[in-house]
Amino acid sequence: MQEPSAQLLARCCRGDTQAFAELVAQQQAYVYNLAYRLLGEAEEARDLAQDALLRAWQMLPSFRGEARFTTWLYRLVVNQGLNRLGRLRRRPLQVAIDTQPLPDVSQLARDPQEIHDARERQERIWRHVDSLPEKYRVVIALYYQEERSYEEIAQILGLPLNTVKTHLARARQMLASRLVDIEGGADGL
Amino acid sequence: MDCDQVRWLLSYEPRGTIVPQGRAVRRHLEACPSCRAFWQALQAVDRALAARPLAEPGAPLTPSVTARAGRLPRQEVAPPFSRAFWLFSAALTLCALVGGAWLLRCWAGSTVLGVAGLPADPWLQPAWAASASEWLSLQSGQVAQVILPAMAGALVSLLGAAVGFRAAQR
Repeated sequence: MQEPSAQLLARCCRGDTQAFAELVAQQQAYVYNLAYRLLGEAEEARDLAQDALLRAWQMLPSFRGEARFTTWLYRLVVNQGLNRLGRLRRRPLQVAIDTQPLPDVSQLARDPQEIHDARERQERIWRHVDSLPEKYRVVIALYYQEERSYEEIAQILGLPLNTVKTHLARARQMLASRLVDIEGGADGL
Repeated sequence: MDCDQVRWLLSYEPRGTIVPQGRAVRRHLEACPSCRAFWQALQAVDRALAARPLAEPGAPLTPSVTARAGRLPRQEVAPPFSRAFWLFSAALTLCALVGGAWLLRCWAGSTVLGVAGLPADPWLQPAWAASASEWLSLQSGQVAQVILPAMAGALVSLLGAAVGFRAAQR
């Protein structure tokens, strides 16, 4: 995650569309990722990301810098995303995300079978995450992928701090329990 | 401490924790293979989630977003003090200055003293005291003619500024 410079934000506030294009290029991956984790559909996530970025452009003159810019931006994404969720029906999540290149796990294992097992476990965990309720998916995305603190997550989602911690703990417990059920006891992992 | 409690506490451990906090939890893990498996699973979950790549939008969003941005109205932040506010404050301050000076002049005049029943002619007082008193009254009157209206004007301006700032914040 990259926090934009004060100069870039000032240029955007003055209406510089080129500066805004730079800002969008910097932030689009993170905005889209959050939108996708929230909505679970690629097309809807793309629309949400675009709408949130445009909304940020419109409201940027009122950004006073009390919080980090990315916190403010993600708050926009979440608020707009929650409005959209009410209109969407729950559908099976697309698997497009799983066709992306996997990170190298070879350093974690020594032989091809272990590498294969490690990758399968990773994909299994990611699929389980995608099947969780959106409130857990978003917290997981912000905590693990964005590496946000509990306080920042609470600010972005507009939730009490303890609620964020509880959501995260419940999500992790559910994922770990499922993994144990699938892979067996202590020897299975 | 039972398994449910231990698992719940383990779920609260920060990401990347190798050894759980809490002696009771660690003792339980040493004795319970099921919870040990759970703890290992939790660590595998942490690693997998940290390694997950960002979802990518496919085609970049920049062209479509910037094309639409140029056509959208933007929220304008009004300055905290409008031109009308400044004109009103200046007029009020001026009125306070002029009115205050006029009132003090009337008060310092002999006609006011006469109306109040006070002796206009200080013939009962010693001459030097009367001169000094007259001089002091004149000086303080002149100073008061400036300071008191200025204070009143400043107070009115501050109140108006506070109201305008509050309105701008809203």
